[in-house]
Parts: sequence; C-alpha cells; structure tokens
Amino acid sequence: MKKKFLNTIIGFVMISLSVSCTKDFDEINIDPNNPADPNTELLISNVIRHIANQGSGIAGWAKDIYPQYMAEIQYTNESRFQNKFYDFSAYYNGPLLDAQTIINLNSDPATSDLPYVQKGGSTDNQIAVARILKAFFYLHMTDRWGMLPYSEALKGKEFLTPKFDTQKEIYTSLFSELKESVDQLKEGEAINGDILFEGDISMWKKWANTLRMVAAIHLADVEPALAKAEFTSAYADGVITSNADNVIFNYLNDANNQNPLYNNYFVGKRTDYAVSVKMIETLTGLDDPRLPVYAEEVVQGGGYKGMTYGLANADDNLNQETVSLIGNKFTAENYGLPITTYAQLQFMLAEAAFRGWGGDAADFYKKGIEASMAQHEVTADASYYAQSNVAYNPAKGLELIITQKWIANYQANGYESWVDWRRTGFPELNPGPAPLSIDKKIPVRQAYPNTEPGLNGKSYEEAIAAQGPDEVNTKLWWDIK
Amino acid sequence: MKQKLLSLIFVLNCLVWTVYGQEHQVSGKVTSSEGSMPLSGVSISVVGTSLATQTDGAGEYSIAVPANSTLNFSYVGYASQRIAVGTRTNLNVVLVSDSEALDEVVVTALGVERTRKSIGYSVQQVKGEELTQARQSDLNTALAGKIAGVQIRSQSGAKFGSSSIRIRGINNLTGGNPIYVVDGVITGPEYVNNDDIESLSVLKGPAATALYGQRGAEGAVVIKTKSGKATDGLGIEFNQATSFENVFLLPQYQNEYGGGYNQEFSTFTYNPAIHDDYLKALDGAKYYNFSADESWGPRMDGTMIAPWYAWDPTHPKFGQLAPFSPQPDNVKNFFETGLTASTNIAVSKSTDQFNSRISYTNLHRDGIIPNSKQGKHWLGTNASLELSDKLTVSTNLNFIFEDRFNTPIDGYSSGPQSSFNQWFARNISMEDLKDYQRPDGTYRSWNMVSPTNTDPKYWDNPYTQVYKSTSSDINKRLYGNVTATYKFNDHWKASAIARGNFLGIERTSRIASNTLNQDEFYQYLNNQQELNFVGSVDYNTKVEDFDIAAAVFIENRRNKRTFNEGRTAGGLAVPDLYTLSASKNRPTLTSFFSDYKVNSLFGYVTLGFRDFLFLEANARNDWSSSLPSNNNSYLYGGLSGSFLFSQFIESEWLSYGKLRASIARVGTDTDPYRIYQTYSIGNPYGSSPLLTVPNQLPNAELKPTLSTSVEVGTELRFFHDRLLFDYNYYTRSAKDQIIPLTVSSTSGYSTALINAGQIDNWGHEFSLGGTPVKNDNFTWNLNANIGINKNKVVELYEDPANDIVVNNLRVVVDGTGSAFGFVGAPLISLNARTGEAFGMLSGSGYTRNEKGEKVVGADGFYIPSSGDIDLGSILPDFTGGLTSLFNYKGITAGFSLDFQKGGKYMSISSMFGNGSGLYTETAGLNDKGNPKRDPVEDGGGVLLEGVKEDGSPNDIYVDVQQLYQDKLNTGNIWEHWVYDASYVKMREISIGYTFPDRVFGNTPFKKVSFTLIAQNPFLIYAKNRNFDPSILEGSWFEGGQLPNIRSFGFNLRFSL
Repeated sequence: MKKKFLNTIIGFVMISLSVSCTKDFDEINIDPNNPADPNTELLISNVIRHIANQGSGIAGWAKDIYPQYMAEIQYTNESRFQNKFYDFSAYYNGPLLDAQTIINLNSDPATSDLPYVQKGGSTDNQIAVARILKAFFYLHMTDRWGMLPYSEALKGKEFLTPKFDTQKEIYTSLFSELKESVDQLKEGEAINGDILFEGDISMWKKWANTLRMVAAIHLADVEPALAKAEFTSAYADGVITSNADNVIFNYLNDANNQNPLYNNYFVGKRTDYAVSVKMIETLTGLDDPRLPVYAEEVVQGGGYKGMTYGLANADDNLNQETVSLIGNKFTAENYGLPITTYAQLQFMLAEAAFRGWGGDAADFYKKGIEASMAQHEVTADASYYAQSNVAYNPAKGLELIITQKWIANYQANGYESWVDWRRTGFPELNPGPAPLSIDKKIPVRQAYPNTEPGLNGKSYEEAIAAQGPDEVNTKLWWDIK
Repeated sequence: MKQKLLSLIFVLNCLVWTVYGQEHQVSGKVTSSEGSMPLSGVSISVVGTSLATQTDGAGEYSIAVPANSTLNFSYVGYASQRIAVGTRTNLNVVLVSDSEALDEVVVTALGVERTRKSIGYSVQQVKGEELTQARQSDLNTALAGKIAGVQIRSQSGAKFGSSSIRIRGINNLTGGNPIYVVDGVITGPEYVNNDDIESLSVLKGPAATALYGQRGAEGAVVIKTKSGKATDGLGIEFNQATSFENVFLLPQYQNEYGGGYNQEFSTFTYNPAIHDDYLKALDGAKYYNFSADESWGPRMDGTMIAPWYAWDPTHPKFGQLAPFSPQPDNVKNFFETGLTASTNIAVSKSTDQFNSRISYTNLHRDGIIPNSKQGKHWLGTNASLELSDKLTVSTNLNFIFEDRFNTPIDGYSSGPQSSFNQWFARNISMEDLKDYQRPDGTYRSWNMVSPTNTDPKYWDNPYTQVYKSTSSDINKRLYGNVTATYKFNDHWKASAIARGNFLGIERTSRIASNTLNQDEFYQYLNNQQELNFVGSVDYNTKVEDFDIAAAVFIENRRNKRTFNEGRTAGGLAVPDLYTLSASKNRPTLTSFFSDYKVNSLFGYVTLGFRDFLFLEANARNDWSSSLPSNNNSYLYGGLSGSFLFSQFIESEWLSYGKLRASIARVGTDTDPYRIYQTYSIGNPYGSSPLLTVPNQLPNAELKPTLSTSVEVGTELRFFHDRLLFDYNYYTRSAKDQIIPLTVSSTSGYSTALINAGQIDNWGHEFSLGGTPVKNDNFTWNLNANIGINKNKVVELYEDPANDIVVNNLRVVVDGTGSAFGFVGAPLISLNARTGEAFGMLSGSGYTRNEKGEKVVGADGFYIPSSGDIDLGSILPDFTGGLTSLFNYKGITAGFSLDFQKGGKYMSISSMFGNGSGLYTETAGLNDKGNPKRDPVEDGGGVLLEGVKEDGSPNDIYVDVQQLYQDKLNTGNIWEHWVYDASYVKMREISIGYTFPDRVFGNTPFKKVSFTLIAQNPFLIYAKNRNFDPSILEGSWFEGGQLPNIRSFGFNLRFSL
C-alpha cells in the first residue's frame, strides 16, 4: 500500500516536471500559414498590382466623376460631392509599405544578400523600381489630399504618429527620388516580378522621367522656375516615345484582377455610371471620331445622350436604357488601364511650349490629338483638326490643349484631369443642380480619413494649421489660379 | 448461494405480508432538529391514500395505517420525510430544518462540490428544472433575468442562433464571453442540452474562476449534467414541447406613398421605333419608377397603374392594370408561422456499483423566414462504474449534430428584411411576388431596371433570395471526458482525466445563377480539436475543529484547428452547378492551420473551522505557447473566505447570515502566431503570385494580461429561508491587455499588437427573493436581481521613448467593428478614452446653442456639429430580472422578465428606413394639417424643433424628402439615429398542471405534466419600438436586424 502511494507521488512529480517543459513551444508557435521570409519578387508584383486598385491605386470612381467623364445614374452621392473623407490607409498599408519593405531589405547589408531578397532581381534595380513606384503613389496622393506624412511615414513603431510634410517638401523629394532612381537602374541586371514592363529596365527609366514631367507641370504656376527646370531635365533624360510606350496596367479576365467598371456593369449588374452630358456634348460638338468608342448608343432608340450630372434624385426618364453607357472597350473585363500615355506627354509638351519653356505648342498639340486617336484606333479627317474649336490658336492655347488632353485622358488616370482642371480651369466644369459640398462647388481637394485626427492628432492639427481646413474646398499648394 | 439468499428474503417478505397485512395504529412525536422542540401542526399523510392527520400542541400524533404503509411528514421550513412504517406502532420523528443554505451543495470551479456556506465569493446556482420550464432551446436565453450581474445579449429568434451573456459588464477592451464547462469540458452554450442539466452555477469573478485559468477570465458557467438515479419506474423520462412562432415587432410603416422618387406618375407612350411590339398593350399606362427601391413615390390613392409585373410579357398578369394602393401588411405577410418541436427522452438507471443515464433530444424548427429550418440532435450519456471500493471510472459523452438550412442573417445589406426595413416600396403585394421565376429560368423582381427592361435592378425578389440563393450549415460536436478516480483511503484520492472536444463545421452558400449578382458557391470546412489531460491528487482530513481539503492538478491542453475556405470566382462554368470545381476563374482559397499548447500546474487548499469560518487559497501557473518564450510562464490565483456569523446570533428571524470576501488574479495569453513577423500571400495576378506585409505589427515582447479583482458580499436568509438576500460588491482591474492598437495607417500599419493600459470595473449585485407564501397547497416563489456595473479606462498606452501617448482607443467589442460609416461620410465610433468610462459613442451630432437647443441653419435644416461629439455610452446603468413561480395543488404558473436601464445604440435601419420614406415619421400631416410630403410652398414640409442661429424659434419649413434622404442620412447627423437601449421584456410565461399520481394510478405513467408556454411574449418597454433593443444585431448598433419573434406552445412531460 505504502509503496503504491509512493509510486503515485513520484509519478505525479514526474508529470509535473514535464508540464513545465516548454521546449517545443517556440516551434508550435511558428505560423505554418504565412511565410516568415519575404520573397521580394512577389512583393514587387504586389506593389504594381495596386496601381489599378480602386482604394489603393488610381482607379477610384472619383477619377471619372470629378472631371465629369461619367455621371451617376441613380445613386448620385459622389457626383453631388457628398463624399468628403477619402481614406489613404490602403496606400500606406498596401503598396507603400511593401515598396518600403523592398527598399529596406535591399538596403540593409544584413538582408540584401539573403536568397529570398535576391529573388527580386539586382539590389539596385529593386531599390530603384520600388522608389519609382513609391513616388508614383505619393504623387497621386499628394494631389488629392495635399500635405501627407512622408518623411516619417512607413516606419512602424519608430514613428506611430508621423508628421505631415508640406507639398513643397514632398514634390522636391519626388523629383530627386525619380531622378536618382533612373541613375540607379542598371540595364542588363534583372528586375523580377515586374508585371508592368516585364523586366524592361529602359521602360522604367522612360516612365520615371515622364512621371517627373507630370509632377513638374503641376507646379507650373506655383514654382515656375523649378517646374521648368525639372520638366526640361526629365525630358532630356529620355521619355516615352510612342503609343507603344504607353504605360498600361492590364486588368485580367479573372474575378480577382478585373476591371472595376466590368464589375459594376456585369457582375453586380448595377450599371451605376453613364457617360456625362459634358463628355457627350463636347464630342458631338467636335464631331469627334472617338465618340463611338467612348460611348455606347442609347439602348432605346439609339443615338448618344449624356447623363445629367449630379441630380438630387434619379430622373424617372433617365436610366441605363435611355442614356449612353460607357464604351464597350472600357467595360471589358481585361481592359488595359492607361497610367501614363504618349498623348499625355505631347499635351504636357504643348503646355510647356505654350508657357514658353521651348518647342512648338501647335505641333505637340496636334501630335497629342493624333496619338489619342491612334490609341483608340480611330483617325480624324483633316477637317477635324481644322475646325475652330480644335485648330491650335495661341490666344486660347491652354484651353485647347487642356481640353484635348481631357478628352484624351478618358477612362485613364482621370485624377490627372482633375489636377489639370484645378490648375487651369479647363475644361469648364460646373457642379450639378444639387451639390452637397461645403461651398456647393466641385471639390479641389479631398479630406483626410476621419480616423486621422484621433490616431495622429498632433500631426494632423499641425497640417491643418499649415494647409487650411480639412475641407474639400481648401486649395492645394500648387492650386493658385 | 446468492440466489438462495434472495429466495429466502422473498419468502420472508411474503410472510410479513401475510401476517401483518392489515390496518394498525401508529403514534409518536415530531420534534425539531433545532433544540428538540416539539412541532405542532405537522402534516402527516399516508402516501398513496387520502388518510392524513396533524400533530397536536405537544407535537404528538396518532393515525391508523394500512399494512405496508409509508408516512409522509411535512412542515413549512423543514425538509419533508417519508418513512416506511413496517410493523412499528410507535414512530418518533425529528424533522430537519430545510435551511437549504446550510447544506446546499454548489458546484464550483473544476466541478468541485462545496457547501454554499463555505464559499467566499459570489456564486449563483440555477437548477435544471428552472431552465427548462419554458422550453427555451437556447441556454443563455433560458438564463435571462435569473442571475444578478449577468446581461443577456440575445439576437432575433429567427436566426436559430444562440445568444450570449456578459458577466459583470465589459471587463476588457475587446469584450469576451464566459466559458461553459460541462462536466469539466469547456464548450459553447449552443452545445449544452438544457434537458441534461442537473444544476448550473454562474461563477462571476476571478476568485471563483481562477482555477479555470485564463479561459475563465470572463466568468464561467459550470454545468453538472444529470446522472443515472434510482427510480421506481422503468427510468424513462419523456418531454415534448411544440411551439408556434410569429413575428411580433415590425417597424411602423407609412401607408400613404408608394415606390418612386417623386409623386407624379409617368405615362407610357408606345413608340414602335424604340419599343418592342409586346409593349403596345401598355400604351398610355401609368407607372412609377420601378428602379427606385424607396417609397417617395406617388400617393397610393387607388389610381389604376401598370404594376411591375404588368410589364413582364411572361407574367400571367402581363398588361393588367391594378390600383396603386397601400399594402399595410406586405412585410408581415412575407414571414411565416414558425414551428419548433423539441422532444427529449432520457433513460436512467442506478445500482450500487453502476449508474447511467442516456438522453436524446431532437429539435426541429421551421423558421419564420420562408424556407429556413433547423434540425438539432443532442445525444448525451453519463455513466459511472464503481469497479471496486477504491476505483471508480466515469464518463460523460455528448454528441451534437446540427443541420441548418438557410439560416437567416441580419446585417444592413443582407436578406429580405434588410430590404423591407431599409429599401422597399410600400405598394408591393407579397402575393404578387410569389411567382418569382420566369419560364426561361430567370427571375422577376419588384425592383426593375425600367418598365421596358424588367431585369432586377438592386434587389432580387425576396422569394428568389430565400428559395434560390440558399445556404447550409452543418455542425458536429463531440465532447466529453473519461475520469478514473482511485481512493487510497478516506484522506487520499487521485484522478486521471482525459477530455476531448471536437468540432466539425461544413458551411456552404450559393448565389443562384441568373440572379442579380454573379452566381457563386462558397464552402467552408472547419475542424477543431482540443485534447486535455489532467492528473490530480486530493487530500482531505479533519483535525479537531478543522476541515482541510487540498488538491493539486497538472494539466496539458492542446488545441488544433484546420480550416479550408473556398469561393468561386468569376461565376459558375455551368449554371446552377454549385461546386468549387465549377469556378470560372481560379477560386479564392484559404487554408489555415493552427496549433497551440498550454501546460498548467494548479491547486487549492480549503480550510473550515467549526463550520463557521472558511478559507480557500488557490494558485495556478500556466505556460502558453502563444507568448514569447521569456514571458510565457505566469502565476496567479486567489484567496477567499467566508464567515457564518449567524452561528453566533440567536434569532427568530435570521436563519442564515454569511459574510464573504475574496481577492484574486487571472492571467491571460493571446492567440497563436502573433509574435513573429510573417507575410501574407494574396490572390495571384495571372501566374504571378503576390505577397504583402500584413497590416498588424507583431510584438515579440508580449506579456500576459493580468486582471485583479476584489469582492465582498453577504448572504442573508430570514424567516426559515422565506426571504433571501444577497449582495455583492466587486472591483476588477485588468492590466496589460493584449490588444491590436489601432495606429495611423501612415506608419505603414493599421494596428500594432501591444500590452495596453488598465481598465477598472466595479459594481454591485443585488438579489432579493424568497417564498412569500408557502403552505401545503400553495407556494409562491419570487426572485429579483439587479446588477450595476461601472468602469473606467485608467490608462491606455504610453511609449515615452517614442513620445506616444494614446488617450483614446477605438475598440472592437464582441466582434462588432469600432466604427461604422459610409464612404466619404462621417463615422460613428465606439471609444475608450483615458479617464472616462469605456464605451462612449462619438460622431456627428446637432449643433446646439448654449441653452442646449438644436440650431437650424438659414435653410431650416439642422446644422451638423463641426466635428464629433459624444453621443452617449453603450453601457447600461443597470440590468436585472424578475422571476416568479406559483404552485397551487399541482398547478404552476411562472414568468420571467428582464430589463436594462440605459445604454445607447445606433439604428442604421431607422436611418435608411426613413431615408427611403418607409416609416410613419416620413408621412402623414404636419402641424398645419397639410400632408408633410407636399411641397413647402404649398404648406407642406415639417418644422424642425429648434432655434435659428440668432436664437429665435425656428419657423422655416423644410422638405421631408430632402430631410431624410440627404440631411439626416449617411451619417450626416448620427445623433438623430442613436437611441436609448432601455427595455423591459417579458421573456417567458408558463402555466402548467402536474397530474396527481392517482390519475394515472393504473398506468405506467408517472409525474405527468402539461404546460402552456409563451416565449418572448411582450416587449413591455422600449423607447424606439421599431426595433427591439434586447436583440441588437451588433454590440452597439443594429442594421437590417431580423424581427423579434414571439412563440406560444405547450409541453408534455411524463416518466415511465
């Protein structure tokens, strides 16, 4: 009996000892679902994939709504400017952090030689590509919100409440980032996971230089000297040279990578958007050959009819069968979304010439129109170019250039058209009959996500103090017209 | 040999029968166990007959009894006794005071049964029959109103789901639920069969639950299941309940205006150039805007129009005009009468060495939403074998199989009810919608693109939704334990326990082909297992005046989980082929595996001194694999004591008095895989795989959370336990909670996992109850309880090194998001701010002047506040309940109600319901006696209560449609849609009759009873009666909430 009892006690002690044994704990807690080592090739693809996302890229509906390419048919919130707060978190959490991670892994000697870091290509090329992409996203963002956390952003615990940098600081940095990246790129060395240019380093160079011109022209009024210097220097460094060089993001015939307009028209079957009156009237006024590409004929009765912009309530007589829907080309599931185009470049050059930075404005202007026609696989007769609203006329050069640029930029990076409208006032756009924005005008800015005052209060307050109220009618730094 | 002995006994028995088989006189004296006082008026009856008498003033009696009789002695305040008379002629009886409290046994943590008096913390126990009285199939709903300090958080009964409870308010920053422990196995409330519950204890504070470790941090509901017992019949119990359910609370809809955006009808003009031939028949027909899913349309004045179906050439009523008239009951007509049938059969048997009970319950429900049903089966068994004097092996096993079809879900954009209450047309007749499919297989809807294109626009026909886009859920749960106990001697005992808990879930859902949305199939397969091994040694002894008991346990627990989830992408290759293989594009797939281990060593010592002073100490150390190795061991425990002061007070009225106090601490770990940086795989782009950095910053320095609580209370019983009072005060402080701290996205991350802050809770719990009336024929029990919980966020997060002080945390409570809002519009959020109570809603409100009056602008509309303002706390001031039970000669009547005072919630349905012009608020006459919806210039519109900016009374009428569609919508003024969540709800009422044994005397039927039951019969009080605040969809808001249902039924119970 006693012996049995003793045995039990000993057994108990033995088990107790084994209970506290935690040898296998670290192993148990290794996540088998997600890799611990980031393969940079996959990170690069992911950053590029975001370019054409709605919430973390340039494909949000506002790109087509603010410049009045499209009008909402039934639910008109966005074209009445009811939306004020736009969230930038998906940019910081998504492509920006991933791009920063690529830069960090490649810049740190402790990690740059690791096999999974080398997967992305040569160290220099990975850093340069990530920097170009970062600059691209930041340029897009600062033109929407204005001041942004930039120099202290993307640093995790180091700066949980990063300060907001001024647009001037951001632009200055973007110029040098783009320039330095081009210098860092090594043709002949690899870049992997490049779903944009398939590893073509020369294209990255051309795109970076063209982007630098895009950024520079934004500052034509506020910092003319700097704008001109960057613009001409970037142009000299080599830019896209034809429609073949157009930077296009290709959506796929795949539900996870599909064109948002396809989704709206054919998956959700909502058909929320139609071509706006402004677009239809402009094109019909010019007898523009792009009209049949840009818009579909009205289902009931044919012909083209634009959707009235920004109605308070849906009009009983306007619906998807009585107004022109967006052209088939643009609602295809695998539409190629133009990011930066040759036509856009030509119109920038025309504007630069108009501003006296050199070159023949009329020539660039015509090339721009031709490039756009070619891009949409139509040709215009000589009569098109001869009509008074098209033929270049220095007296209203900027209006002509920007109007044609606006037409050319249809269903592309429409945020650029919104920038142009804010800078130049062209084309003339009027809010609809029932705007809900603070001043009942078309927004000239978007408000920071309304979580920011709570999460980054001090920095937010400082930004508001420097930039003006966090409203849609607060003009950005370069918007001094 | 044994056989012979039995025969002999049998023969002797017969002899006794023969010899004494006649009437004889019995007399004696009845005294009290307390001081041997004679008891007068004691009822004495001969069991099974009507013979009876009473004791006289000296406690003496005399009665003539038939041979072989049993006498029943009963007296108020004392336990009844049954004594077989045998051949005795003199029978003196000592009745024992039934002051239950003295010897009442309560199940505490780890299933340890202890006398109530010895417990130093608050425990509330409910008996099984109290839970099954009204046949609520959900355990937590059955608990509603019965336990002080427990807030029931139920959901609409239409969902077949189970509700949850919150013990002592929100203790931590993320909510959390108590654990349910069935015979030692931790499981979910939905897997507990109420019919199998012998008793249930709610352990509220850490002192009570520390032995359960971290999982008991939010309290524990400890359940002891019924075991086999000796019965005089076959040992079969049968129970059948059937009830019928109906929707009883729908929003108040307006019945003046129908679908559309404006009050004018359109007239169709047939144009052969653009219209198909079939439309010729409709030339000149009036119609409204069918693409509108709102009710701002024309007045429903009976004008003959071509309704939605008249435009569909395949519809039997194509081309037929009908009056445009209200359908006041259209929503109600959609819902059906639900049926719930629950049948339980249990068999049990017990002998000296063996006892066993097997129970089976079948639940079948047809929901109130058409085509929704639930089948649930519980099979439970308890067995215990005494293999020898020393060795006992016992087991409890439960298998639950649940098969649900089309479980309705609530949510602001899900299911028909979210349409009816937020986007609908008041002129739609449900009858017309029933013919929902066209001959070619496509579907019709009330909400169409246009008169000439009858495809659904934003909404499928509700019947299409419920009959075609179906879902299925299958849950299989097996849990139980095997326990072997070896008793070395009277003092020492050792046990080995193996516990298992296995869960398999198969869930599928489909979006039917040809409906509004792209067809889709979704499948989710989940397997979870928990294995748990415990070894223990118990010791107890009595040394002079001390009772000592102690036990040590070691435990090893391992949890594994695997799930696979797949969703077709891009539609189905073959319409109506619902399988992942039919995915047109690469399906979206997730496969997940997790593994987690906790080792523990724990024990307790209890000490009793002369039956009036009791002390308990317990301690537990856990080692968790989910924490960093340098922080993965944590020790905690508690101390508690109770003092029975009534032992020292000679009092007529105080029968029991106890003081108790405790202090305890509980440690908690976190989920696995949260400390190391990993990367996430995304859906590929073509053949290019994608990888991203997750949004949560992991933390390799996490520490366990520790929460400390102190509790004092008293328990008093008066007048022989006729009046009971229990009071408890507690505090609790939770430190270093592991939470995902929301950070500015500009840091690159959206959340950072941290140990944060301190949140304090304190509160009072009262319960008052007793038996106001009790005599032989009539008893009335009444119990009331109230719980008041307060809290304060003392500190959140500081990181001085990086100059970070977090003063406000937007928190996710019980899975409900921390904020709600629409793209581009202001948010409403739930906040935890340093120095304030947790749970403050904050968002856009009215602008008010210094007098607190709402200010309107020059246009007569309210001016939204500039920035967010406080909109009230979601936490109630107090919660409580009241239960009552009458018993008169076998007739029982009982009810249970529960209530909540205070707390706010936001109603998205109210916002959209009014925004779409569906509710009464948006129609009717204004104060001038004109229709509100008439143009303001014609005397219509409404005058908002408030003042102008200069302080003068508002006299500007505003357009109603603009008010609700724009100005008060999409969160422009959240304050308008925040309501008081106070409610009083009658949860259950039952009236039953237990037939006297003699009625079924010659049949095998025993204990036959029949009960009429009503569940959720009345919402006695609620501020906004459009939605029932007691069944909120989320923890602080509702949107598209399913309606409340009320059920009436009956229950038949008998034994064999």
